[in-house]
Amino acid sequence: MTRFKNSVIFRRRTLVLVLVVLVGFTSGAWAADYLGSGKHSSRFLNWNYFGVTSYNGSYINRATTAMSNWTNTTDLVMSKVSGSNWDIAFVTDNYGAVSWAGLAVCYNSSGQNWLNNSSVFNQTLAYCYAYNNRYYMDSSSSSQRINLFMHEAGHCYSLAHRNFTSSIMYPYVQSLTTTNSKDRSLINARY
Amino acid sequence: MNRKSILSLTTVVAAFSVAALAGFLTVAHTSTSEPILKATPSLHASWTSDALTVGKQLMESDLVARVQVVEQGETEVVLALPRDRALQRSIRETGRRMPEIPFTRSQVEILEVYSGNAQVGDRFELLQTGGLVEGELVQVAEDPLYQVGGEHVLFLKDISADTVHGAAAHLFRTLNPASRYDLLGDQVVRTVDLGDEPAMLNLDGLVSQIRVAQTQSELPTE
Repeated sequence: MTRFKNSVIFRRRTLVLVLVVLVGFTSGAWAADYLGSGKHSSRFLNWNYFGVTSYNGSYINRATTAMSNWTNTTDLVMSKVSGSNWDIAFVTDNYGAVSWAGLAVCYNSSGQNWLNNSSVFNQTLAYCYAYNNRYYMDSSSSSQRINLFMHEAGHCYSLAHRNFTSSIMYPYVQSLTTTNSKDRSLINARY
Repeated sequence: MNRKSILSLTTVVAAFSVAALAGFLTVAHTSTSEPILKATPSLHASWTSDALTVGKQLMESDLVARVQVVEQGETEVVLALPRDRALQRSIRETGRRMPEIPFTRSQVEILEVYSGNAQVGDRFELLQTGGLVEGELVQVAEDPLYQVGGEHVLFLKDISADTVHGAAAHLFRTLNPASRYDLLGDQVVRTVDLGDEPAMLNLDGLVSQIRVAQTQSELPTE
């Protein structure tokens, strides 16, 4: 009888431990949906645009649409500013025939960034740059431009890549211009 | 709380922490043949090519080859200063900074040619975004910097004519991180997580896929 009782207790403890490990693994994996625990201090963010505003179609209008898409589908409120009080700067320039069309880099309030201090991924973000490589994007479609601006802004909000074509954080330029429910829930959970 | 309870609680917390870390690393760093030099990649890119299959990669490539990295060049910084005057003014007014985007050219030697106009023993420069900036290693997520001695099967674009980077006679880049197949012995390792990608165990399997894709596309082989 005692042997049976001990066996049941052992099985119960093992089950609890397995559950704890599973929950832990899942929560760790979920953390990779974000670049880190960092975020901007407010859900009200200003953006500005720098560089050529139009080539084979408008760039700045596509950036405006991209920011409206985030505002309309999430708790974020993105406002265009013309001055220097921007939280996100879209920078359009020719970075050459490299493999990428866009990149994002954010800073903390001390002037450190994702490139020179990886702990900035887990800090309050002061301002960000979202790069748009003209080498490719000059010949891109309107929807691809919106996709790129939304994607790079997603990084500036701290979202990581997601391997689903329905996600705006899919790491390859595509024509998708909408967020999916997971993109939205990740943003709203953080902001 | 007695000693036994404290011990149990400690075990549960430790198990959770280890599992959470394992979960994070599994998703964040899925299979890389090279050492993970930094816990968090510094740059997150949106790639121009969505060629994820061998067939599509072959179609988009100028050269497909097995190569070995023989030398890693100096990191160069392109467009360190913003060319846009409004942005220059904005940075001056606010005292904000702007990052330097590093690029590194690795010298590689061809060990085997699968497609394209090149010979075994030829050398060329391979351009990659990332490098050493003020002593800090900057890498792009899913595309860690190539290391001297590393062997890879690469699907490449010839960018020798690029006016920004193309100072070399033979300058190439990969299509995207998915077109980079790192070799550990004859084992093929990917730096990207392609989800339901069929298991690709060894170099022979990859070469076989390239040959099949060549037959299907009727591209000229060497």
